[in-house]
Amino acid sequence: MKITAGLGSIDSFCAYVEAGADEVFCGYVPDTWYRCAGNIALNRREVRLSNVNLGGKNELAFLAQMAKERSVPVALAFNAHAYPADTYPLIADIITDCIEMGYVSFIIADLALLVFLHTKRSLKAGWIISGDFGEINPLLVEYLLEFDIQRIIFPRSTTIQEMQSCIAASHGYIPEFEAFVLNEKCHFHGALCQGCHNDDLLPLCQIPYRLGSMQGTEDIPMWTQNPQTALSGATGCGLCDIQNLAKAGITHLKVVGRGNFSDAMVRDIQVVRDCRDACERIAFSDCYRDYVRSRFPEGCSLNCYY
Amino acid sequence: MIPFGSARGILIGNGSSVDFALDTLSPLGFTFRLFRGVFPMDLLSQITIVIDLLHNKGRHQIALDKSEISLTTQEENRQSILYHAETTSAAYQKLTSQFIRDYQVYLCMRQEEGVEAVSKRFLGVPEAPPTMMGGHAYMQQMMKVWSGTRIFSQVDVPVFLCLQTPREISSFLSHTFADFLSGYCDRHNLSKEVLQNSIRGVCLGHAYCSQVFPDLTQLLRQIKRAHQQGLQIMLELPTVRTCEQSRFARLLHCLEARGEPIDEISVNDWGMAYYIGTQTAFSCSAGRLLLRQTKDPREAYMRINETPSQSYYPEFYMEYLVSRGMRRAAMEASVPYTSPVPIPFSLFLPCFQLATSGDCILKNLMETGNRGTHRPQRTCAKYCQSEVLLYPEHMKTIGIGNTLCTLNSHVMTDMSVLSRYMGESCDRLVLDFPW
Repeated sequence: MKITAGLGSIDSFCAYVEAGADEVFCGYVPDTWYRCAGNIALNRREVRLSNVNLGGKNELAFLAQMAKERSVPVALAFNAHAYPADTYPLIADIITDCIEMGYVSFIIADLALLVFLHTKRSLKAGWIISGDFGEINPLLVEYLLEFDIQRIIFPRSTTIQEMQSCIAASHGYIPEFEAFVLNEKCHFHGALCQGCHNDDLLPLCQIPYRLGSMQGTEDIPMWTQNPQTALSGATGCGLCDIQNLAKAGITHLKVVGRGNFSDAMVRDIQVVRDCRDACERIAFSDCYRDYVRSRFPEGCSLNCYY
Repeated sequence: MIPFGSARGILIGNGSSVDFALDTLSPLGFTFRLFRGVFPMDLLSQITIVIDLLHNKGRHQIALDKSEISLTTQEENRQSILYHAETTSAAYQKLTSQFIRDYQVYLCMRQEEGVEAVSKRFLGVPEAPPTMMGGHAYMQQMMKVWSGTRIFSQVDVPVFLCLQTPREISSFLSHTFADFLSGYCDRHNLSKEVLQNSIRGVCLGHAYCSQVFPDLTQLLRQIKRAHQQGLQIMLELPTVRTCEQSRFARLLHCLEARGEPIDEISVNDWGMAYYIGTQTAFSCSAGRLLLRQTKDPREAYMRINETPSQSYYPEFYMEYLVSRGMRRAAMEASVPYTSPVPIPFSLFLPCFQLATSGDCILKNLMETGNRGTHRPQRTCAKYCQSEVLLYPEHMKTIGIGNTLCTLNSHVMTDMSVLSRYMGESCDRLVLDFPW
């Protein structure tokens, strides 16, 4: 199984690869998009004031060279849920430029974009279906076979058993499957969260709320988002199930973190790498889980993905 | 590296251009590292610095002619060259000074006071604490806005009622339609006198939650009752997880075999759309969770200087859906779309879906007492029948079960607003009150 890690800045690429990342994924938002589309998101990170998205043909050239030297593939995310009607040609142009620079894998969440790229532009590339595409079930996998898909990323709430059914439904025509393994287990289904993820607004999952009775007023505590800690997997962890994911047919493990601090990501990638490597040498699942727990002597987050 | 989305440069020369990130930025100049071969610097005629000022103050760009820049090489290796550019351009100095000042203030405020303070100070988003009213009182207050509305007498399209809560369904099954409608209008602050002439059908099923979706027996009872009342029937299916596929497949085949008079099936996942199109004789419509858009109610605060001009649902896409057997769609009165929707659609109002959880957030909260931790939920404890999640009042949003629903009350009172959503292609309104 390969580890794919979210990259927010090309400065972190080498550190992530040395930590054990076999692949990275990142957002790319060039100036032409900002000029033409303004605040419309090109991918699921609308942040401008932190290094979350790459931009600039210059940086893309750097990244392509570094990726080639280290034989580490880079997937570019174009995974916003929908786009204004008149921007599809622009997105296709941007993707075409990326292909010319040597990029071959693109993460897509919008069926309309997939249809446009296939039918109106006949672009050939490795299309990766984002976890934000929609509910992934075996029927959808069969439906997607017409699009020549390279990989499907399972949404966060997919169980391992469901993944197994979906992988079987591909009959080998979709070669790769990716599952979340660390960080950001969101409140909401990625495909069904229509809130903003930008610099100036709290994400929906962090807005304080109260529990209210339909019958009357009650003095109910207020909940805010639990504070994040420095612990790996504090916001979502699937380390204990890497063996089960491997048995189910998962080929790629996703470490979420575009925009996270680099040193935290390096730590997270190392943990996933160590656990993945341990999977291969430890036969019994109980022993494997003991190994994982030994990585957290003061207790793990208990925020389990699976 | 300066975040590209906030400040960047463009090298221009000889008919080509390359955008690049800035390593450093100051009122006196900037540095950037250029990949060898990406742009011929000897043909450089201009460097444009683009800065998007914080908090939606707009895009600004300063075109610096080559003669205005003193460009020196600080460092080079086989791969790249680090350039340092100095300029005395007054416009550049003014813009970068403002940007740096704003950025520093933003970073300090965000670090010390949090994002909510930033939202309040720079966008005018109100203070964030959730409403202190109880669930029932809060919803009553929200519905007061359209009390006595006669808007439905001004539209000439049929109106359907969404029956997706146990209370509505129970009332529908046990009372005459006239009595049911009276109770419905009382509960939702509507005028029975206005509505009764427009009602043509009901929308059954549940768009958001397969646990709440009725079982076959319950559904057949509802269909039979609707048929007895002479009402058309629209069925909404939720997103269907792998473990529930067989349940919904059996349900559809049973409905088909019985020849149940279902006018339209609105699907909310592509897998089920594919299944219905290939395995059943039903025609389906693209559901409101399939045609997606960002519809955060706080977005209005972001658009300080611009009106939303997004148009979604491009024509090529609608043609594709029609070619796959989806001749209709379900839309919500959430973000207005400025280009016409080219296929007939049902407009759901006044609530729209904001976010839906893969596992029930309410059940997780009730059983763990912990908002941040989630467990897969495979059984339903029906907490959504008695509890709701109450969000800050300016968001007009409540959490019911696994979904956040936001209210657009303008569409219930202002015909010009409703007309904008309906456009030319809306041929049905569906009243949806998820509580």
